[in-house]
Amino acid sequence: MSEFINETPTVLEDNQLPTRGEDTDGNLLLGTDVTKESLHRTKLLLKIDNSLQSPVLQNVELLTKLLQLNQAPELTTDESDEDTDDMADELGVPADPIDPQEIYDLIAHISDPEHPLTLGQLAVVNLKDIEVHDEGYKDRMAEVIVKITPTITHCSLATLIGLGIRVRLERALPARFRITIFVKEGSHQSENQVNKQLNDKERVAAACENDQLLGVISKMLSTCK
Amino acid sequence: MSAKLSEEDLNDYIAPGPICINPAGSSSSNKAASNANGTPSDELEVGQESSEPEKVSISLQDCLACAGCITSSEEVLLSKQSHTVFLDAWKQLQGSSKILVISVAPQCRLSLAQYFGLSLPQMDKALLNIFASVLHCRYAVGTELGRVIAIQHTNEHLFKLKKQQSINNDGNTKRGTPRLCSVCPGFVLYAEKTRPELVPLLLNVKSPQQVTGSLLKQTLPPEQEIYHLSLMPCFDKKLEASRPDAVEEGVDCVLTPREFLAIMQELQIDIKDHLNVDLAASAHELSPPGWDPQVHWASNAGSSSGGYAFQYARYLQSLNPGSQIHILNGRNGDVREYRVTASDDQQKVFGSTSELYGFRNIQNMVRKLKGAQRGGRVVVRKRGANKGDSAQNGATMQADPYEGEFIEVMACPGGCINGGGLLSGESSVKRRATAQVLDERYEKEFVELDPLNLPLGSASEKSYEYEFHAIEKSTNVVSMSSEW
Amino acid sequence: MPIQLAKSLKLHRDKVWSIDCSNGMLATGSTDRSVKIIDASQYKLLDELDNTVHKKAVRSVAWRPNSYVLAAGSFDSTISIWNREGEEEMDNSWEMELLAIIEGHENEVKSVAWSHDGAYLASCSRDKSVWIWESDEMGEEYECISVLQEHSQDVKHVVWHPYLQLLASSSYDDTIRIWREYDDDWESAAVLNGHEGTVWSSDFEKSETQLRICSGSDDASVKVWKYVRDDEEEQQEWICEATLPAVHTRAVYSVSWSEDGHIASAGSDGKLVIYREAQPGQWKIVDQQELCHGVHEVNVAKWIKINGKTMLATGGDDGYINLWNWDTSSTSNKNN
Repeated sequence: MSEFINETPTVLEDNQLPTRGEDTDGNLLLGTDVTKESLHRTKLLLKIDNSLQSPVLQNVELLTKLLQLNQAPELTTDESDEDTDDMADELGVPADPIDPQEIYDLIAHISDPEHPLTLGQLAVVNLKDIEVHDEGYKDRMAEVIVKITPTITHCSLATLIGLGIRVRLERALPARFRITIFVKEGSHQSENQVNKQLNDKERVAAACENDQLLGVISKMLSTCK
Repeated sequence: MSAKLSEEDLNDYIAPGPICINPAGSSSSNKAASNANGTPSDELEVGQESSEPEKVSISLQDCLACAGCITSSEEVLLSKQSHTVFLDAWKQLQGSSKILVISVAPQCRLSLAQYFGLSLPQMDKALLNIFASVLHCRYAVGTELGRVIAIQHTNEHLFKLKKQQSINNDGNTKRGTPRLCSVCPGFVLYAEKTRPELVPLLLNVKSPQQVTGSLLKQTLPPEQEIYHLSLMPCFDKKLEASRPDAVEEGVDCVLTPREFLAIMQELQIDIKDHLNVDLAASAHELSPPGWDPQVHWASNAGSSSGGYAFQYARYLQSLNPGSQIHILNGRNGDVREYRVTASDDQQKVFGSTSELYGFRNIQNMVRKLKGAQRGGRVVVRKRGANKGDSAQNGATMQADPYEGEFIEVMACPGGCINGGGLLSGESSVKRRATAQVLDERYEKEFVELDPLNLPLGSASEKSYEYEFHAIEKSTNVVSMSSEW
Repeated sequence: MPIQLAKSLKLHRDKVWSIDCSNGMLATGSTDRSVKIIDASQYKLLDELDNTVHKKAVRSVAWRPNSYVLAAGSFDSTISIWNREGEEEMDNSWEMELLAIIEGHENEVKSVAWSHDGAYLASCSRDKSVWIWESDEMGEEYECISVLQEHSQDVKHVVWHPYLQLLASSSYDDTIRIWREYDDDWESAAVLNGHEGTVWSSDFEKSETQLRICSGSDDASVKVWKYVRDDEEEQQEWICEATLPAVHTRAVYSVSWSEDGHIASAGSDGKLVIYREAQPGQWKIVDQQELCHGVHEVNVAKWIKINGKTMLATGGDDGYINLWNWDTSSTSNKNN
């Protein structure tokens, strides 16, 4: 292979990595950044006034005060607390579908197994190479396709990097996601071999029971936020 | 165990495996290695393939040490002994003071004879003629001298161990674990790589290939430069010649009959030109000083892999006058035991030794030996069944290699006569059939000598020992990454 | 709709990889390293095998025909053999005891299977080999009869023919190999090429008049292969007789051929699909069930017989075993 796609990657600084914009529009209530806290808050608030159009809800300052004053009644906790989708379902709408940025955020901070740099910084993972098909319904399958660009064409570390990404996503994403990881076309000498291995569920499962390998992967994932 | 090495593993195109790029620690490569930050990298270089003149070379030790890339490193080693490499080296010999010496294993001679449809003597003559008139070799030898030394040393080692054990046991009949023959490099590599618990059981005697190399060096003056080409039945023999503990014997290149055919093709040697002709040089002229061609071109009784087990049984028999050797068959044609007992009382066993060939039997052996070493069986609990007296069951005794003192282990089913480099056909069925034919021919056509009674002088007093090491699995990140 | 969920059992804490049925009992193997024995008609847990025996996931379980001997293959590269303790039938105690642990494979064991007469146990592994073991009647001592190393990659699955001494292995190298006895050894009788991805599983047709096998692959297809003999030219070979109607959108992990000729397939897309042969070589979909284990992948689908009744059992990543009724009297066949 005469052309290395990612031969000398321009190492990106952390602040150069694509992130979600600042949440200035007050989208906190039902915005794109649906976090556990915000949903929890939303639930509390909706008990006050059911209508989303309520002027009470529009006034964030007032709400904060109200929350501090009111001993909001204890909510019955859901059984699967980790799954924010459950809460979303209770609201009667699908959870916000996961988008490429979210996937990117999950994997960009994985460390390269050999360098003290992350995959995002090395441009091994790039936002534009992430595809997500998700409607947000917890009972429907969704798909994530991540294309990685290893830094050396015959780098056998590509399989390790791919494995790290897989483990990270399998742990972080809900069960409905089907994860596919490819080495970007033309960026690796044994592309097909690597792709096959990365997407073989049984091989991956067995790899995850290999203590030594898990140790290396834990190190790689330790830099994730 | 990786499937026996075959010709397909020899590939002229050798791609660098990842592990072959050793971390470039030296400063000279840093100029290319520094990344965007300007900080010098002393880790694997990102992006640039190392093409600087200062290439880090791989040694056998680096390669065998890493389980992750073992195949590609074996490929690299094998590639250093291909027939093209030999031809290049051979061309360089013309006009230099370095002489060509060729040693040939008996199985190769037989395989070539079978291939060309000749009798053994006819084939031997043709070979000598080719060696002398076309390849211009100075000496050509058979490996029997080397084998006799290997047999004698094996017997001595085993006997010493036997004596020591009876001293330790104070006359108890408890037997120790059998020792394993280390003449088969396929098996030795397998033990070192994947069955480290077997390594202490390997008997430390070098194979005829290596002993022959050493003998040649001892015979010829030290200033005389030699290129030693050895014709062997399989590709694993190449790896044996490149072991770090094999350096002093100086076997430069090991080729198989298959590759020899390729050489004949390339040099346009027609076998017919070398039949029924006056020999360019006789076997005697091609023998090094002091080497008797009747000896080194002969063979001995026993298996077609060398007869180590059988010759030890004979040795035991000679030490116990009036004793007999019983041949017991195992569960398949690749397991056979030689039990030496008193002729009037078959229960009185003086000793026993076995032949055990092929991966499936090696597997059973590994499990049995492992269990024996641990002092327990692999089976967790038995329920009632009486198995204890099966060995004493008079009628048909079955071979039990694991209770003996020595096992002649060969990786190939059928032993060396079915080596992967022989001209036995493509399918494994064809190969088995040919091997059987060759086996029968081996018994009939070779002149046999008695290795136990052959005086060898000072040559046999030298020790020819391997240094076996269980190979540690690499914890290197790169090798791990390809390991799942 | 012929497929109806009869019972859903949360048996394991992690992926269920394998199910095998014999004498009305189900054995299940899981990533959680345990093997469970279930009474399939009463949905009662009979025993849970010691989960410290295997150090890694139990990938495959198989009952020895006409006995209570069970083999379990694990990612820890060993195979454990168990048998029922105590007197059979009379005794109400149902405990399995460990008879032996078979070592030998270099890495993960992917599948274990007994020959129809219980004489041989076959195992396969990521080390690319298929091993054939012979054991004594008690199932305690095991000897390796053959190590078959013709596959060029990870071997995923082994299955025996219901009446003949024939073994099929499916591999990551995209092929299926058929093996048969030869002298005191085993040899490769045929290689079935045609899939464009790892072959995950295969199953022989339970027929005495023809020799066929179906296979499921990473390429999302299910194929049927037939052994044909051309009497005139005396040529014998395996051909790919049919590729079943495409339904699966992702890898097919498991296929099973019922006694009455239906093929079941299941896989990553969570679907269970049943096919029947409308005409020789022409297959139609009888029914399909989506989301068999919710949004989780289905790892195994098997035809089983409980009290004479044909049913289906599936196991998924959700740790559940689902038992499905198969009602062929139903006339609402899709795509007929």
